[in-house]
Amino acid sequence: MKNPLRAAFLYLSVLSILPACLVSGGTESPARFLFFPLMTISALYFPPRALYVAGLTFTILFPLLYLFRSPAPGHLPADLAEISAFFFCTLAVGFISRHIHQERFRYENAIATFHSLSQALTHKNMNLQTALDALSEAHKKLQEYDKTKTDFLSNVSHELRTPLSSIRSYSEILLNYNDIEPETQREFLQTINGESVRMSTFATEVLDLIRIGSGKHGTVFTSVIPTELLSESERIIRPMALEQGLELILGKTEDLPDVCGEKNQLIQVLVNLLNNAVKFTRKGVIRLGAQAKEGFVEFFVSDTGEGIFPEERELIFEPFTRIAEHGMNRPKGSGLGLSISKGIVEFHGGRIWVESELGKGSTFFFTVPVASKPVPGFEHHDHGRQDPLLVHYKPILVVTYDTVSRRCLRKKLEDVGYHTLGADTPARARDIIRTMRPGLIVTEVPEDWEELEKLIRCARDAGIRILLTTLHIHAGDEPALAVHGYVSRPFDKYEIQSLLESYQVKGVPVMIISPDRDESRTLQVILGAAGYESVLFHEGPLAVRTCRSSCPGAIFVGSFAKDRLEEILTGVRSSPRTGNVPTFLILEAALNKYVTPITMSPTGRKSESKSLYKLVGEIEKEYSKGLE
Amino acid sequence: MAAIDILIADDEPHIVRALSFVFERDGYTVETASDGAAALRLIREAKPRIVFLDLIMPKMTGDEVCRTVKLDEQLKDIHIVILTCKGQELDRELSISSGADSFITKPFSPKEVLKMVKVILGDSGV
Repeated sequence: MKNPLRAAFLYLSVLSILPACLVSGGTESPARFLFFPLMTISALYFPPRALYVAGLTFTILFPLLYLFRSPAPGHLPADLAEISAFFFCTLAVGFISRHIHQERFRYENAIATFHSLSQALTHKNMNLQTALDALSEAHKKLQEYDKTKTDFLSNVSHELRTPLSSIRSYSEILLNYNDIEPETQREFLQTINGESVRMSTFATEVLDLIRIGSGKHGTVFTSVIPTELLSESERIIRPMALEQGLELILGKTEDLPDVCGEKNQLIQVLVNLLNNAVKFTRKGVIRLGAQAKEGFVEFFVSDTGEGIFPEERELIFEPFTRIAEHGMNRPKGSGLGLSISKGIVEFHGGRIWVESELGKGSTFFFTVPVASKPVPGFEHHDHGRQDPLLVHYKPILVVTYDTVSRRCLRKKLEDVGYHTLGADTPARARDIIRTMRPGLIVTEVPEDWEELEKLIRCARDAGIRILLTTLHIHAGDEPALAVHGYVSRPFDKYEIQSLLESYQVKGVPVMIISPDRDESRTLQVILGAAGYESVLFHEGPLAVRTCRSSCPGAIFVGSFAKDRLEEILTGVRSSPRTGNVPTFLILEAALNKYVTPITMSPTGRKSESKSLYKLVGEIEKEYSKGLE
Repeated sequence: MAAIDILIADDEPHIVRALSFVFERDGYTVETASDGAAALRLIREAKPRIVFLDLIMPKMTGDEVCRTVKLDEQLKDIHIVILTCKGQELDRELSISSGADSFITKPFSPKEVLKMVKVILGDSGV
């Protein structure tokens, strides 16, 4: 670096001895001895070549001073000795300098190796930490799972033991006492019979619950007519209700769309809810009915019982929770009915909940998705064969701030046979997730990352996948922005390396634009380890200006708010020099686990319909993954 | 109220019925209760010599009743048997810590229980 300048400095200082000698007494001037210390010191700082040049030039030029010597005759041998001293000094100094430089080079190499090793170590360390985090999370989950299982087993064993106790006691009594009156004998036998029925019912219910829990239903969804579900369940429960002196009212059920599901299971849910209603209502009315609600049919069963305490309204859907009615002891039943119902409803892609007012009664609601619209020439199947069109029964939720792009994407998706729901903000989306169960969420880079994270947490709890796109869909225009890919923390050197290599980025420094200094510095280290030089920017406008003038090899953009991000990306894209620079979005680490980003290749920007088509394709791919 | 021999407290009516049948057949006087509070009231009123307590009962659990009885100077000599479920370690710990004299695990044999009652009451000098 700046070698010519340094060399010039050396020449100048060595050669300046000559005029100094001239002024202070010619060849006899003591200034000429300055040559030796100057050269020796220079050996430390200058490369051998510069030293040779400077020393030899001095040696050659020094005899010129003899021309200015006063008439006194020179001593030629002494002069020659002096000049050869200069010459040999130059050689020696050059030799020493070469050694010093070699050593220094080796030392610098060692330092560089050390640095790259330590960077690699840091990276490995980070990877290990991530692995460790993932492991401990998995461990915690396993422990939780184990606890749930143990609790479940101990509950099951408790529920089995109670009737078993009675059966054992009564059968032993009957065997041991010969003189029991016939009525008592009969009473005991009845108890034994009743308890064994209770046990076998319970066993069936436990099996049901386990089967639903493991998702292995072996069930086939068909389109089912809601009215049939309602009337059949009503028929089953009516005798029981009449026996209790309760009125059973079936609401109007005309104009309901068909739902997608398994008929017997849906009837089981309705019968279960009706059964509970009858059990907990002393007098009054039980109503059941259904109404259509945006892609779903909402069924309800209401009673005029005691009502349910607010704190118990969530709890009752957990296995083995039984609530005692006022004045009653433990209600009969296994405490599994509602959790089985919940399992079935959720398996169908619906939701179950209860609204209740103490002293006035409770209403249980559940939703079942509407079956896809029948395609001309495609009849409804009711005989158990799977209708391939019905696979699309769960709607896709499209979350974009812009109404036009939302409508546009929804229309495209509906054209290919999906049901869709729309939301304009992540907050609205969360409400929708709570009431309906979309099969997939498609969202865009948010105005507020925190809002997105909340949405992701909500979706994760509901087990719904999220697709993140940075593409803006407009009816007529080109998509407003697209990135070439995503990276996320913990940054993986090899991943980033292959990403950059796939876009043939080399040689030119890459640019990191991120508001998060910590994040960008880490990325810089990783990029360094991967062999890429990088420059950091923490604010958009300056970065865009620099980008346009220096044209980086690639750009990494951090988590700016939507407006800022758009500003940066449009700034980069609008210049012909930087329009095609590979651009990658840095995602929040937390998002990455639950979110699949859609990356649009730059060729996709050429035509709007083409990229939309690709987006729909990606969505379909994700959707089918979710079904597995 | 006259003193009785045995009090059975359980919210499962079948269990209560089976036990009281066996005890009454052998001539013991028996009272029954279906919740913890009623059990405690009967213990105070009727001073039974043996009390069978189920752990899980409405209003007051078996171990609570037991603890109360064992803290009462006048009642603490009553023999308390806790009905526990087999394999439920927590149940066993609860019955021991509440000061119960013995426990039997469900499902139990009424005959064995009767034998146990005879030993307990025999020892105390019937």
